[in-house]
Amino acid sequence: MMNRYLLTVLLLVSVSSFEVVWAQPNEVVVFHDDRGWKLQVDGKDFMVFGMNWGYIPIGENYSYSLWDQSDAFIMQVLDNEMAMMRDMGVNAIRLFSDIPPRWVEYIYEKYGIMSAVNHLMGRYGFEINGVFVPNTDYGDPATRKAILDDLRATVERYVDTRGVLIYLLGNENNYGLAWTGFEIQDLPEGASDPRAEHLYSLMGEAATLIKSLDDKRPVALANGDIHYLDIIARTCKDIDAMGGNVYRGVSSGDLFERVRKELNVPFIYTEFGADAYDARLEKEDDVSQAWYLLGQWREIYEQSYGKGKASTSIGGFIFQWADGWWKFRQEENLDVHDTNASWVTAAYPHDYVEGRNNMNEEWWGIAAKNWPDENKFATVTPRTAYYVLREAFALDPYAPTTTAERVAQHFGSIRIADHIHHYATGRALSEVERLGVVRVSDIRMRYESSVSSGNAQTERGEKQLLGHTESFWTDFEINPGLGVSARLSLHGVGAVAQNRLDNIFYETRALEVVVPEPGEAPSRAARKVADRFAIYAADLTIEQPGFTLNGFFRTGHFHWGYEGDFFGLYPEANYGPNLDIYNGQAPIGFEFTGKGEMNGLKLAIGPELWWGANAAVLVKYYRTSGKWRYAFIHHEDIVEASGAQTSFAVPEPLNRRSSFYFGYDTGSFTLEFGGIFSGSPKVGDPFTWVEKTDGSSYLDSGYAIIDDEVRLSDTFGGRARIIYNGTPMRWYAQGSLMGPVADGGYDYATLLTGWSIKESGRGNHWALSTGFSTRAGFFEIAPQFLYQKPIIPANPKIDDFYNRITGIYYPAVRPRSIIDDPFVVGDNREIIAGELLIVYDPTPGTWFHTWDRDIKENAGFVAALDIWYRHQPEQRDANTFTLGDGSIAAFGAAPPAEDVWEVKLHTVHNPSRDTRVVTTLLVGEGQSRGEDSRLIRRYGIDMSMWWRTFHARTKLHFDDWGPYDFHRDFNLTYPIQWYLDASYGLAPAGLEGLGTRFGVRAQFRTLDENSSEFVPDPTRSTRRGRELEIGIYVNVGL
Amino acid sequence: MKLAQNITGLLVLLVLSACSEPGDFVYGSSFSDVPFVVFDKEAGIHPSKAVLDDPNNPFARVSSGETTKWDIHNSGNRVAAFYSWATWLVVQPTGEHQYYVAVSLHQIWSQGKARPEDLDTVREMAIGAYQSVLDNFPDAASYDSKGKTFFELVTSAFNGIIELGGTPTGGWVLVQGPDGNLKAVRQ
Repeated sequence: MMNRYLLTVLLLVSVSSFEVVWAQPNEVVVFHDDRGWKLQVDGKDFMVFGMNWGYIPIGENYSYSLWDQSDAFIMQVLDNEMAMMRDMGVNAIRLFSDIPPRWVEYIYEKYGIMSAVNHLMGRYGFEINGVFVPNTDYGDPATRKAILDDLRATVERYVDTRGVLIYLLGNENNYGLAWTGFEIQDLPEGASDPRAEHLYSLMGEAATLIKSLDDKRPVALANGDIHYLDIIARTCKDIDAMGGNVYRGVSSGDLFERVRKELNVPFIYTEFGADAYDARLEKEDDVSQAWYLLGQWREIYEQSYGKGKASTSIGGFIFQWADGWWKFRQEENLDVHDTNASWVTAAYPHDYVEGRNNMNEEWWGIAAKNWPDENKFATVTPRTAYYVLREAFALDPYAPTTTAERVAQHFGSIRIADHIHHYATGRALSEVERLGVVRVSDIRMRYESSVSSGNAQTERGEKQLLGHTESFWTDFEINPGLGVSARLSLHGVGAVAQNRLDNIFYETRALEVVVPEPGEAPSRAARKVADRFAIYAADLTIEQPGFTLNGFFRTGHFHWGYEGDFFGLYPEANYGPNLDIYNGQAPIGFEFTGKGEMNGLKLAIGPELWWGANAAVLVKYYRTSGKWRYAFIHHEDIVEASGAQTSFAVPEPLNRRSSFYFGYDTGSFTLEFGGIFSGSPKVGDPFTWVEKTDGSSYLDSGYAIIDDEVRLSDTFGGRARIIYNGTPMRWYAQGSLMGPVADGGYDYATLLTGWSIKESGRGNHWALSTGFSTRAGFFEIAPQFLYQKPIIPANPKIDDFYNRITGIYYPAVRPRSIIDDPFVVGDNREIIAGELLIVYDPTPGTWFHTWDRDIKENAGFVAALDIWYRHQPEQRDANTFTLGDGSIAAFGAAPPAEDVWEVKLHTVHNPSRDTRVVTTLLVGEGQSRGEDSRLIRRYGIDMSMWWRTFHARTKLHFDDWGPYDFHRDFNLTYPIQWYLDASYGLAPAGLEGLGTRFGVRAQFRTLDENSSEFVPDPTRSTRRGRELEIGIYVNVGL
Repeated sequence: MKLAQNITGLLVLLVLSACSEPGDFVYGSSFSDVPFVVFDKEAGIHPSKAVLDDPNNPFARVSSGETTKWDIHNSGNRVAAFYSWATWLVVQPTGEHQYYVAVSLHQIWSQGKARPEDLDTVREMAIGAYQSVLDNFPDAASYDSKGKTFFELVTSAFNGIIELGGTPTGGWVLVQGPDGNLKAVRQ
């Protein structure tokens, strides 16, 4: 018994002693003598066989964080990928400083792989005094302090962490001085930006700070190549090594020697490598990638300690472990392995052709990425370089026998051809389903049964009605090669429920069209399924060296608002569920994007480039030059469209529009101005307008009536804007003067923050607006003001009159409409508006105003309160509505002038890793889009909840419009509307709840005299209608 | 140089355009000023919309009102009545509107309110408008202009064609009804 106690005590003592030893951080030093430089970890020589590593599965982008996932999932990923890297010989990874220290230790303790912790030093913007500033000004004292404060916190977080190898600063921040965006562009050749002094003095201060906090790990820059060595030598005296992202092909030439002479420190590649795609032959090329990497590592060995050359090389981090499918157009086509070459260098001559880009940003992995499973876990397939380097790394660079001759012999004996079969076999296995030119990429099925009933005060009556809907989608992917890819989605219908309370949905497109005679009520008789099959969506991409061509049908495209489209001539065409509900057939067309010599040129042509558009062609030329940006756009309608599916997308008469734009950045200010010439086909078109008069007036209406016509001067408009991007406040002011027919379009670009109120995109107005956004702690406070006034006011409705005595006829005056008149007063009506947006967001780096914030926001709790009030002293002209056969008509009048307001609170709550709750509370007053004068006050709460694979959505609205456009057109409201949809799936639901899921849904609403399909009770006028629907559904998807 | 000239020309045009006279004030007008000149032989016959392009149509931009159309019909000015009804027919294609277009054309012809060289064409247009009632609106009915007497339009349309010397087509014939009156029916 005694022995057992003694054994236990000894065991505890030994374990705790072991833990004390184990818990010590490693000591990493840069050893230097007359034979050169090398790293030593805990006293042992350490060549950095490093890898740039991160985990972003196909379909995700930079906003995805592995570290936000469950521990089990993180372990699953690490155990898969670290084991593969360890087996290759990798002993270090470079990653950004968001990795929790415990995972650094996990990787080190289990796989012996150390981590280079890289602080970005504001490379992609930085939060300064609570405001996220996208373009870092390294000369700004507040910016410098904020970055150093954050760096201090970072070092303090890792200082006691085992497995930390080195601190790296920045990520080619010197390129950020020249590049215009976050995507990779051509490498700057010179190094002459005056802002570099500020950048490197900050780097120097950062290095000094780190040394004061952690004396056990070295510090290096992660520079863009070795630009600005002179400034670095002067300002960064505390760095232990020079680091650089270097893309010089198979050899870096004099790099190692220059670092020795000019800095007298060792050099480490923070990035280097080669892409695995041949831009010339337009095909994957893992062999050339292996050839470059083998040559690059040979040089690393040759330039290392004791080999008789510069002796400054201490290793490097290969760029990168696995392909990044998100890197080209970082928000688009995330599940497409884009073959677009986005920058050029002649240092990789195997696919270099003068005048063409040859670097394929999504193909830098030495492992190919495989498709993730439903939990987003994905494996990789190592390319040839993996096996070649595994053989290369077998040579100990610091062994006494590893001379320069031994290095040459070792690398000379490695035959790339011996390793090609590994990747070919691995890829074939992982891609076996994807082999072939055409494949079925997805099959989805939806079955739904529902029962509905009402009471006597509804047109559907008390009888219970059953309905059943069967809907099928089959998606094909076509990859014939040579940069061509296409997707086609077909839709089929089995049955269509005709009992639904919301009786317009995508499947109703298949029902026969029955148009009632004029004045006749629509029949409630069941309709036949007449058109079972349809093309649901299609898209096409052709990537060629000189251009990219995208074709689209019912597949959305983005606007050009961030590329010089100052007047919104080319709108965004993503319509969410509405496109399906009304069976819109848009957008359809082609978009051509020039590259190389045609860079900056875009062309769009198609029969309906956006929903409701005429057949049209648009051409844009947009360039940047230093601090200037400029653009020219022309839009020409070709053929007038006929008909419309909904009042949201009504075609307008043929038009012709041109605009120009200039932008200029100076310090914290951006100046923008532009002009538009629009509506020239309308010159000479007649119109009637009114003028208030105190004297004799037309039919005693108080107005004088004037017949006029559109003149050339009415087609011009202009806009100027100034933006101050300061800290902690950002501010803008904008003024516009738009001729009566100088129509632009809605401005889809976000200006400073997520305000709701915007100036109208139509002509016929002048406007002034200003607003600012400032932060106080985690709060963003953003007030905005808008004044807008039409140049020619709206027409009132004045009935005609025939004087039987005099025989004089006085024609009517009616509000104008877009289908009968050259211009209207719509959202360009007179408005004095104020808005206050208050956002609580503890993680402003993940911006709360993106469209997918409900899924992407990663803070524990975020809230946005938006309050606006619009004083509307004058009425507008008439809107249009659509009929069942697609014809379009104008209302005869418009609601009277009324002020409206709205308060909306939107919250995202992440109480745990598996749980997310999104809520919207709304109260406000609104006017009909049609002619009804009733001002409504509506209230509502919408809530969505995700818990593991369970998903629920509910909506409870009071006195609100129904769900369709015509409800607002005709001011049809329901006293109560309640929706519930709860489902369980095999995987977590996305934003739209797709995937394989089983669910129930319910809908309840009450009807009154303002509701559609209400039947009043003549004996009890207060009796309301009631309708209830309950359904169950199964979605099955691959 | 040419570009500069073009820009200068455009600016001059713009300034001239901006400085040109404002529009004309609108006052009432007498229908006696409205002439009838055949603009399009299909005008006023469903589904033609040509009447909206007729420069003499005083209702082309704004149709007459619901009440005013009867005032105009009763004013005795057949030309104004034609334009009023034909415009309504485009806006709301009903048998009643088609029928009164035909009646107006019939009376323009019978009262010689068109140029002599246009009268034969007007007669053909009237026959075409009556025939359109039979073809397109066989179930249409109306009240008389005082809003009291209900009548089916096909019989009146049939008789109108006969009065104008035409022959109804589409299998329409007159038969004696139970009340002893003749009634147009399709065989």
